[in-house]
Amino acid sequence: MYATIVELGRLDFNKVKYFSVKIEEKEHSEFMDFQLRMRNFHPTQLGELNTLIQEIGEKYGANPEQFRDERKADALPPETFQYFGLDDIEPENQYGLRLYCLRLNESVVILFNGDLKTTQKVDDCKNCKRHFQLANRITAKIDEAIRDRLIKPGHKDILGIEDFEFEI
Amino acid sequence: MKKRIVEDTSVFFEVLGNTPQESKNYVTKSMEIVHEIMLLLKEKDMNQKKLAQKLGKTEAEVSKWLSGTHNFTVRTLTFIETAIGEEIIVTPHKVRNNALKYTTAIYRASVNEKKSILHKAEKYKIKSKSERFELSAA
Repeated sequence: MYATIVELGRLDFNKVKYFSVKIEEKEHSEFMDFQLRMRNFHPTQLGELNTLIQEIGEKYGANPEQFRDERKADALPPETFQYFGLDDIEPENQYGLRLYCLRLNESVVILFNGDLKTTQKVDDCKNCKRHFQLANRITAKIDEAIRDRLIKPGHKDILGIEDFEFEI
Repeated sequence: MKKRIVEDTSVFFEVLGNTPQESKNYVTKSMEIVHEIMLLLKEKDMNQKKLAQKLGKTEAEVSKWLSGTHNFTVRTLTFIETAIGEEIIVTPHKVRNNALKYTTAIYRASVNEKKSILHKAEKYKIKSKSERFELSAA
């Protein structure tokens, strides 16, 4: 399967421009698939996550401390974040929504997919494991493409994405 | 060169529009508080390490607090305020009172300045009269 980096229309804020990745044969990008799947089950937590994305984009820029490390990839929300809204009261849902991403610099973030995390270790989570693994596979490919100068992250842009396609 | 793919994100904004205001305010406020602490640290020429030392905490712990979305208790904020020597959260009432005090002080200063100018002018006027008198007498 091949994938491309896509621009997320209107997610171009004062300080950050957000991108996503679209896998061929899939109707939506990974990020929009996340939005469409989560909006019915976890609307409040998704709203808080979207507010976080908007605030980082509009006011603060993508600083490393606002993201959590997920091996090679990153994720939102940051470690200390506690969701305010309660969509789920079951104890196994205490970890909340997790969105995997890749912060390339202060003004460029690629948003991937995610889900509700139900266990402390991601490898044990039936919801998040595949998204975590995919995010790390894509991150490795993007890192390689940057090293090979196929694409170049700049200020609120990634140069070369028009001709960049990668296998996952 | 191929054309860039731009994806429609209206669902993102739709979700935001349907999110309870208190949830959005919670995220916004959490981030504002941390931003304020960061600004105050910069103003006071302090770093996270120094703050951690003053609070008797590890640098890693303080760094986690300043990740942008920590759910601070008033107790923790008070400790940080004391360590920095500045207020982080000021209530609107206090801001209004401070603004009133400031405006009053400015007004008083301007009145005093005016008085002093008038006083000087008065003195000049008297002097001018006497000079005229002296001139006419001569």
